[in-house]
Amino acid sequence: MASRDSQVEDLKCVAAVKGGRPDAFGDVVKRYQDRIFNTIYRLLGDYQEAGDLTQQAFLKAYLSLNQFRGGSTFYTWLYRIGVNTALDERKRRSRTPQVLSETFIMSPDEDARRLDGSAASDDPGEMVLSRERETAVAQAIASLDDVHRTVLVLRDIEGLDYEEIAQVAACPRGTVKSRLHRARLMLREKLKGFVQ
Amino acid sequence: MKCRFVSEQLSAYLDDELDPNLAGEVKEHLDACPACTAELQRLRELTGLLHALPRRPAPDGLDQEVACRIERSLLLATPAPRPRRYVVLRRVLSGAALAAAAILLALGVYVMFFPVRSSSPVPDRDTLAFRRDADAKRLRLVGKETVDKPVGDVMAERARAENQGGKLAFEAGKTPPSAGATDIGLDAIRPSQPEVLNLVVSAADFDAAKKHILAVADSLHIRALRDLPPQPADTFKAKLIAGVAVRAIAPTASPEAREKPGPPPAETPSDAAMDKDEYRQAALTVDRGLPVFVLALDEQKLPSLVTRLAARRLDADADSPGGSDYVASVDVPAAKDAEAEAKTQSAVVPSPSRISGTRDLSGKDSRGVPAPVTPPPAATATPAAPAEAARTDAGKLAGQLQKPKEESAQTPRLVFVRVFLTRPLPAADAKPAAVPPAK
Repeated sequence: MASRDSQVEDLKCVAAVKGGRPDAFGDVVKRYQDRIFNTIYRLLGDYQEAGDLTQQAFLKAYLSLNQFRGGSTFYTWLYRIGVNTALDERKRRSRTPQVLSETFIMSPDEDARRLDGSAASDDPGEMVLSRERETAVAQAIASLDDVHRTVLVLRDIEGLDYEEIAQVAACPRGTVKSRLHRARLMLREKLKGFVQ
Repeated sequence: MKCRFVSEQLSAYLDDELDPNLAGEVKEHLDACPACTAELQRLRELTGLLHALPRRPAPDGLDQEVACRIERSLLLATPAPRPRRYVVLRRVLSGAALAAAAILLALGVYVMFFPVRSSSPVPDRDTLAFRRDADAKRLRLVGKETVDKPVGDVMAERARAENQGGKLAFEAGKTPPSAGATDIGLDAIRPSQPEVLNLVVSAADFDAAKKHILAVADSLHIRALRDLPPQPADTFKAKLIAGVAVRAIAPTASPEAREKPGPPPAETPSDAAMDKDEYRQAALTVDRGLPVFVLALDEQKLPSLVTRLAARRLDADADSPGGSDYVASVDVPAAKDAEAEAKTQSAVVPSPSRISGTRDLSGKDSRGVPAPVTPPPAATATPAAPAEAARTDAGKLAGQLQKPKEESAQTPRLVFVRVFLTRPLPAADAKPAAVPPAK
């Protein structure tokens, strides 16, 4: 997913931070904050909480930077921290009865989108349908179990390839393949109305 | 190839993640099987739905929040809390008993660590750093005249000066004061009582000084709260800077108010008051609009920091004749063994122009006599080769300075160093100033 240049940049930043330039970590944050945030948002399904968890993930990454040995690419290592942070929060919530694990809290602009004329289509019917579809997809993703949701988000939303997902999820590539297929089948079942 | 097997491969086929041979076989099957082709189409639609989900960018300012979290986490995590018995002692002892104990302690320190005179005065320095710490045996204030006194004496003088005019009185060109090394009231969010030191850096080029200070801090793995903003919010940084500002711009505050412990006032000083602070009675001023750095470091790194900052002079000489003038001194707790003298002497960081090839760590040259006083940097053009030699010696010196700390095997303590930038004293203005006007 990441170009070789950006991987080199990552390693330079990591070396700089380890070498005593902590400000270099700011470049890492700026480069990956959108991707990590979006991943956590889609894994957790809670826009408000995703911001805080993204901060936590970067803090964890900074504090454990010495443990990054270069065995994987830096951004997959970062993704792994972000994914684990989101899943830990899911587990914590699952132990709290009043918080439903399948709720999906959209971002404010996403919630209000298509009602303020910013939609891609001008057709009001299409706007409503599109919004319903996105809500349904998001809720369907949120209803998957952790392992399937993780591979689905990393592949179909974040665009990681199977090898990268295997590094993030710490499982063999074959497991990624089977989990992803299974996740898509489950999702298709939940989205029957939108998929022929 | 059976449909069931092909069906299981369709996701990977769609993602182009099958190996070429298997992908070829699947394609052959799809060409001949409408059911599997329809299945592939449904998967394609599904992934299309997922790809169509809007990507949400991170909220604005998230990177800043991350930076704040990291700073706060590091600042809070480093030091071990001080033993609780001190707190208990403070609560138990009455005021009179505390005063008596302080006198006894000062007397004891004075007797145990009788002044060891430096081999040579250091008259070409006009800035300093000094520590205010019960563990420090002596305070060594280095200026036009070297002050080298036991802690008790110096603190008593400082107290008298503060009581006179609300500010420390120092003669121009002699010794800039610390801003008071006040406790800045962060008890609520820090687990211990980090020591706060002040480092006054006299520099003609603030930009160069700023870069150099940060580079030195970074190279020593010292965390720097850099470019502290004026007063953005009730943040950790704001409290730190407020601790500086409130102290510096409130010279007329009553001694009682100054001595009152606790957090600094919540209200922020006005912009006008913050604009330029008459930091002391002499010609130097600390411009409040300029960066103030707060460095958080392990106590063990203090000698290295001061040494490296002092090394700036070499570069300044090479690049700009009127360049920066970093001079600093820090006191290392005196050792009790036979090396006490040498360590005490090496505790004063020589200015780089004095860290020459002939100077050893005891402050004497190879002939065993005190190193000669070198003219100020503006008047000296340091060649490149001696500069390298001096850097090497500075490194050795830093190593020497750190040794006693390593041997002590004590838990490193967190120390805050506030770095103030000042303009260098013009030679013509370097007249002795009187005591500040009484308010």
